[in-house]
Amino acid sequence: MDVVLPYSPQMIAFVAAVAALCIGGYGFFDLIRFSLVRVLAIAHVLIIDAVRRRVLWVLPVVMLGVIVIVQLQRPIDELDAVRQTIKASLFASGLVTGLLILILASTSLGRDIDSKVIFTIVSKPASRLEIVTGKLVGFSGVAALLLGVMLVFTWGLTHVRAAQMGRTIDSRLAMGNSDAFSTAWLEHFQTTGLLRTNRLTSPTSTNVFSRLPSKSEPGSISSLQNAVIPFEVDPIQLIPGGASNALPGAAGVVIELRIPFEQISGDRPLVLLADECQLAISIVSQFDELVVGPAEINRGSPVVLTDPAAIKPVRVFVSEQASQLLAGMRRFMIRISVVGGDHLISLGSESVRLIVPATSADLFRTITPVNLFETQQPAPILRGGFGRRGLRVLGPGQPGTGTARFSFGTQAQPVPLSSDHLDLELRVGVDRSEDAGDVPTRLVLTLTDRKTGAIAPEQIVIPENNRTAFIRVPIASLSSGVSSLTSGLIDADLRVETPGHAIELEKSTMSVVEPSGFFAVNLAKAFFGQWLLAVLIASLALCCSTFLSWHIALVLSVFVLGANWVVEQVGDALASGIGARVALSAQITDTAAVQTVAGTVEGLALTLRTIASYLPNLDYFALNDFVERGLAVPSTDVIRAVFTLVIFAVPAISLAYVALRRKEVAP
Amino acid sequence: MSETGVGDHAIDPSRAAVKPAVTPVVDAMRDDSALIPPLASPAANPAANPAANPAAEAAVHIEHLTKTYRDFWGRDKVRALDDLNLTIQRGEVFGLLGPNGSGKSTTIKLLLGLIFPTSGRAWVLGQPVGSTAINQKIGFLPEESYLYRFLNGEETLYFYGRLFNIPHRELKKRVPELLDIVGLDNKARKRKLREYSKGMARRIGLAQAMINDPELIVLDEPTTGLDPIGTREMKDLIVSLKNQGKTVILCSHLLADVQDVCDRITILFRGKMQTLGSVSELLQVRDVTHIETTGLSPDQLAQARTFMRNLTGKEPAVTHPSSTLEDLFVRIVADNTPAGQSYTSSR
Repeated sequence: MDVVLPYSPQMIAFVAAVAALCIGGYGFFDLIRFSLVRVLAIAHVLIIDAVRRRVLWVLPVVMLGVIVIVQLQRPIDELDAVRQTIKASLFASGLVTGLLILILASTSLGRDIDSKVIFTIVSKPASRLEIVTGKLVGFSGVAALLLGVMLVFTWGLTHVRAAQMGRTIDSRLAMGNSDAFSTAWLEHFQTTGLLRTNRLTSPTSTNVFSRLPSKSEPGSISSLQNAVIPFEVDPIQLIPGGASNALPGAAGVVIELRIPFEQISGDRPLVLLADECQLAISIVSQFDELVVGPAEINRGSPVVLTDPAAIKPVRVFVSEQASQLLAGMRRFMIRISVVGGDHLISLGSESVRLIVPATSADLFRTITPVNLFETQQPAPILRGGFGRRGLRVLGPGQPGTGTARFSFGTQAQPVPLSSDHLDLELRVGVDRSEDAGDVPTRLVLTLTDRKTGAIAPEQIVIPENNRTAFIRVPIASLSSGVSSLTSGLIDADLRVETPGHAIELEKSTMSVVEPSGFFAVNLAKAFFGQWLLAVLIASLALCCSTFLSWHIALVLSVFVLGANWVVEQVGDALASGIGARVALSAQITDTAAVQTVAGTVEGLALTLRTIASYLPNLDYFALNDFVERGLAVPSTDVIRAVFTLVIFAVPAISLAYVALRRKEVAP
Repeated sequence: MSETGVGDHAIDPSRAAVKPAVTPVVDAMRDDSALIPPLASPAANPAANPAANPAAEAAVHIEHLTKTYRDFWGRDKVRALDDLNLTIQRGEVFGLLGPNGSGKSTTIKLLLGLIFPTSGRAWVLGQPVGSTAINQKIGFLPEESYLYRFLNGEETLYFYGRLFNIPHRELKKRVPELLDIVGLDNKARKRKLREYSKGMARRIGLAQAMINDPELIVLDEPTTGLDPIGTREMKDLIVSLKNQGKTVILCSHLLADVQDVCDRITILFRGKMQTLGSVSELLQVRDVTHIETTGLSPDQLAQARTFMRNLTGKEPAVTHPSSTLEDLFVRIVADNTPAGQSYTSSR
């Protein structure tokens, strides 16, 4: 299991040091006489308190609310009905539990002090460490009680809803008046059921090729298609060689291109000719926003390739001002497209690189592309036509026709093929031109085993706009004739067969689906995530309430819990490079002013990002989404949530202990 | 004829203590300067004349204890306790007296670790104050019963018993015993504390203070809210605890209660100790003698008066003793309570 923990060793060491100092050092004597009996006694009283104060009475109200909401929903299909039921129930459970625990934990200590019950507890041999721990255990118990009841309710409600929708599917199929897509869809869910728990395997790379490459060839694009090459630079890398006092990008940057091209006629290659191929080059942010336009590149002149074999590189100069912007951006992508309809260019991993000018040739610094994204996709990314999402596959009868290739599995992690078939999920945006007529969009899917070279028979898929289609391919069809087993290294090639139609792809457009575990277990994992979050809330609220009045403690707890989420929501606005983008959008031309604005904005964004990085990220506890989508909650996500709880709850409880021990409880 | 000193009342409820109604003694007591001696001499104060290690030997040993409450900005606001020196011996019943704001509660809170001293040191049962471990041997009844009101009587005792790490088997035995001792019947044990009367709350508060069979019991206003019977029972219990060798610190406004049960007292005022000593020693009016007898005829009384006048050259005061209201109350309730029942059962 490969768990990627989002915490640096320094942060883990800091947490360990806080715990060691506060509890191991300052509270050593309390630690050695720590008694679980006392902790459980305090916890038990809190649970009795919650029960007798009728905290649990809120649950029937919540259940009723969920049932009403479920009845009022307008789902687009049977699967969506079940999905919305799960979503409503999980959301309500998490919200109510989180709020109740926040209020109970913030006010608990304050109530004990106000009512002076703390006199009779502190005057007993219960140490402050045991009091804080007992309260945390108590609130964890209350949260477990609340969530346990909601788990049973959610399980029951979803099964009732799934049974209702199953009957609807049966009746729709019996009527026989559904279209091809719907029939396939209904049959799929009649077989698999609506309460699914699957594991999805995403492609390691997705490209849209003008012409599918063979094993040794790089991919290619033609007109109306584009490719992006991502870079990540440290501003220091852009300081001209030999001029260490110069500003990053002060001497500009050179884009070096080694791009072979060929002339084509229509969709097919014609002959290699020594003519010219004109490119359009621009630089965009990692979010596809235009940063540097053609006017700043090659001094505004067109970029022309003259060597079809690309033996001699073409160097393109990016202006000094634009280069300084790039230094502020840190992350950006060079976007390349072919001008004109009769050329095709090939792009490999070494086709594009950056060169930083220097005072002498031996001081030139080269910068190579990187992978900016979560997938293992290497540069470049061939993206087909210009669509809203950047990846667009055009059907025949128009320039820029292409084929999308989704590559699944690596040598280290092949696609799991445990049964006699391979299930795929496909979700695309469908775009039909007005003159293409109202015919269904037909896609052709071809699976190839990259290792054996076996090719499965073509599958016809009829998609609907932004709805998931399910495709089942028998594994035997991936036989090379010698063996029916496959290597688990699969290329899925998808093209549009209907003239004038196009599809738009997203990162998760196609996935390999594998059944994984039971729905109830998966649901329990989501509730476990909510419980972990509730424990975190309790620990932070307890910590705040040891040195603040409960009102202020409540507000501070909400801030600590929500700050990271707020920064996450602001997202792009605080990403690295925001300073340069702000200066760009304000159309500031003066270099000094650009640097001032960019530096100030970047500094503010960095401050906010830094603060947020030391606060808990609640997304790590959000396992609901997996269950809603019918996906198995990955164990790695559960471990990450547990680790996040430990990282933040341990120092919170340690500080709460120190604060309470230093607090005069009878002022 | 017997001679009794003030404060030597019997506290067995079956025996009514007898006090003179109005006597010159009472008049003499109005003269504070005659009654309250100056701060006890070092010889009278064990704290000032310690054994080899008073902190280890005594139940409570306090040295120069000062507590100043500060405001938000750290400026001195109130000096609640000012350079207190005190030693309470093991096995004695010690009274902490003083008007409101005199520093009694502050002293108790400091001894229990609820607040921290500004300066000075204190030891309880040989260990420095602030150590949680020492609380294992202390019982504390606060001035009001600060307990979880959502628990019932039994649950409350189980909760506090667990805080002392008392095994469940032992608690099952001790909890009913304690509830019997404090006079809470089976019905009351199952009721939530929020439904308790003030007297019942004091009783369960006392039970929780004794759950650990403590060596030192701190009782802050233990008779507040109790009816005369309860008050009498509380005082009996304090004497019983003393007889078991336990140390009791009693903090009360009801001076008669303190006078009845305490071996020694101290009076605090404005954070300072004003006096310290044994009750009999402090209250003794040395130049007045009280002679008590029964069955005198009027003639015999006249002869006695003449004899006393001739003896002292002053006219003696002659009064008829009266019982206290508390004694009368106890007698009436005891006479009307069916045998084998607690007088609180009818509630």
